[in-house]
Amino acid sequence: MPAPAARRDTPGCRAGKFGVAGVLGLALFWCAGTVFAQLSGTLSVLSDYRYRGISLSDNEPAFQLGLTYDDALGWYAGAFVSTVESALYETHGVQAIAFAGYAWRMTSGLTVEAGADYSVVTAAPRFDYTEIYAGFAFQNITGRVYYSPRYFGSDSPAVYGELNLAQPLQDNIQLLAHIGILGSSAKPSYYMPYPASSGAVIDGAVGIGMTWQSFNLQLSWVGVNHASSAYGVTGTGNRNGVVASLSYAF
Amino acid sequence: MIAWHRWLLVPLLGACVAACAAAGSEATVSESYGDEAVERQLLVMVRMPPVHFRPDVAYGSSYVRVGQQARRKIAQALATEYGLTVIDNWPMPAIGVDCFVMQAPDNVSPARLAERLSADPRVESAQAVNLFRALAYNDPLYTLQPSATEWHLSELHRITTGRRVRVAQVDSGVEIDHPDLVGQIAVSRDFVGSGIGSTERHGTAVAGIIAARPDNGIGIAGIAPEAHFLALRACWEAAGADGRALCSSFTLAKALQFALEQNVEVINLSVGGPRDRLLERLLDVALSRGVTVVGAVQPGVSDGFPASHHGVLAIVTGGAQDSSADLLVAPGRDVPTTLPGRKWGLVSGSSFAAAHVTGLVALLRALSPGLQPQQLRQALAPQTLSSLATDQPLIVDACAAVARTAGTCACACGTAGHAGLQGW
Repeated sequence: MPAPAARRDTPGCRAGKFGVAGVLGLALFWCAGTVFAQLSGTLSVLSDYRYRGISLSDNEPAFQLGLTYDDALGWYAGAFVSTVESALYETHGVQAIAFAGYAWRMTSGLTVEAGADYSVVTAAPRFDYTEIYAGFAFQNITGRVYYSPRYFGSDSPAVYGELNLAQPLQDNIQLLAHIGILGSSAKPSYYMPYPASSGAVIDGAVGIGMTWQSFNLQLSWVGVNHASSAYGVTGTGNRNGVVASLSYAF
Repeated sequence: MIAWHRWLLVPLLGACVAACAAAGSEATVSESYGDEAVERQLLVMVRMPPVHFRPDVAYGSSYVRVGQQARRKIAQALATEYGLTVIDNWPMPAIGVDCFVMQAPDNVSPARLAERLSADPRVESAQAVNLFRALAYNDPLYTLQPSATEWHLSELHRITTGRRVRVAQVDSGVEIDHPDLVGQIAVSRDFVGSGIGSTERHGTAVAGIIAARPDNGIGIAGIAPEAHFLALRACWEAAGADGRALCSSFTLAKALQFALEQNVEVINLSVGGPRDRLLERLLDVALSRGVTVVGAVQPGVSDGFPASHHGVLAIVTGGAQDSSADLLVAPGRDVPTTLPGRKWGLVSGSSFAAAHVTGLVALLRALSPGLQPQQLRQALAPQTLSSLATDQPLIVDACAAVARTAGTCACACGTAGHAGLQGW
């Protein structure tokens, strides 16, 4: 399969962008400066890495690490790395996301937030992108809207909206549900390995989460209504399936 | 990556599920709720960041759990540094903290330690654990005194039964299979954690007054029998306290946090004790969300907590010596109600007066869900210039309150405006 034409950014340039994002995040850590600050993270293994419903691991297992810094005032920043598989490039690598934002918890219990993230997919050099988002959380529900001017390297902007539910069934068991909608006008590229639609992509998940001490185990059904040109990075694997994951929080 | 990895992963995760399930079933709950143990405990609040975007917490995973380990490390470091032992913790997202219970050594005052900890920048706040007591008389002969006047309940129930109003009782354990309470309790949770003696006298008695099933040929009729009733055990009967129910700041806080998560509309707190900063914060959140909090006034202790907290409806029994126009009088003497062991009996105390008002508030909120706190207070017992001048507690007139809220006649229509002159 012919590889798509390289974009202007060289790998060094992309690494530089991600590095800048990381440095900005770290600067935020130190500038915020109080010892109220908390650093937390997760280490996970998944049977399939589904990113907004789309498998970024070609339906294969993936390993992930997430780190998040929270200061005392509501500012936060962090980084996330996951192994990915690219059927398009027939190679593997990582997706790395740097993010930062501000969240405000109101007396009513409603939390609102705004922030930005920057994603790099080393296995598919075209597909790094920047995103801004705003969201809310209330009790067991969270919702967020994201806007990216060039989602996964597309020449068209994309908007993604999501709602998540984590409803406790017992002390350590939760019912998990997710619905997301991606709107994008990206056109199918000649090199895409499957017939893709440019219509809205709806992804959903329903599952059970179980927590024991520092471990969280999830078993979910995850699906997406159709493949989309917005996700040229993906392979030709199953659109729907069961995903198991085990996370260690620290 | 080759496919065998996937097949290796599935049994691995399955084994983890089994291990987690087995370990979870064997987990023991802290039983550090004896009076003496509680008096040496303090609460250390570590800030809990608000929920926000995290790529590693996708698809609705628990945000509360993530970060908890980081807070536990902070708590453990504090405990080591200050010579404390971490006993328990409970996330309280309503006020943005993770609350850690720590045991102080014998030779150090918990209050002094709390002061020192409060100055530590890693600590959001800290306080000694307070003990609260359920407010009921325990004199055996007191219950033989003349009964209270009724509230014309059957007539009120023609208009309202508190249907679907979410009422939380924060108290000792309730006998949920009592014949008069079967099917009346929607949610029952234990925040004491000992699991011992969870059927207790005070909680069962308060629950009966609020929610007992009417018209079933046995026992009594609850004031709000169709309310969505949550029995939250935050108090326990202590052997060394004349059988009275005791509660701690921590157990009460856990129950209040849960009540907030459950979107309750009315909270009954028939307990009394010293001012408590953690509980004040949770009550402030509840009041700001429009929750009606009903508190019992400890006889002779007009500034007792939580009844004296601003916004809480403070309830006394008739004949009490307390003098303040802010107090409300409700039936609290010789009240027939449910008791453990499938029994009924008479109880007396401001706890049970508060239970009456809790039930009545549920009736009113069923009639008018958007009732504002000031409107509710005025409906229960209107404050007038003359009542303020005398500075005496105001008698709650249930019929008049329902009539004012429903905008229609509630009981014997000609007497609605005069029933408030009756004494209890």
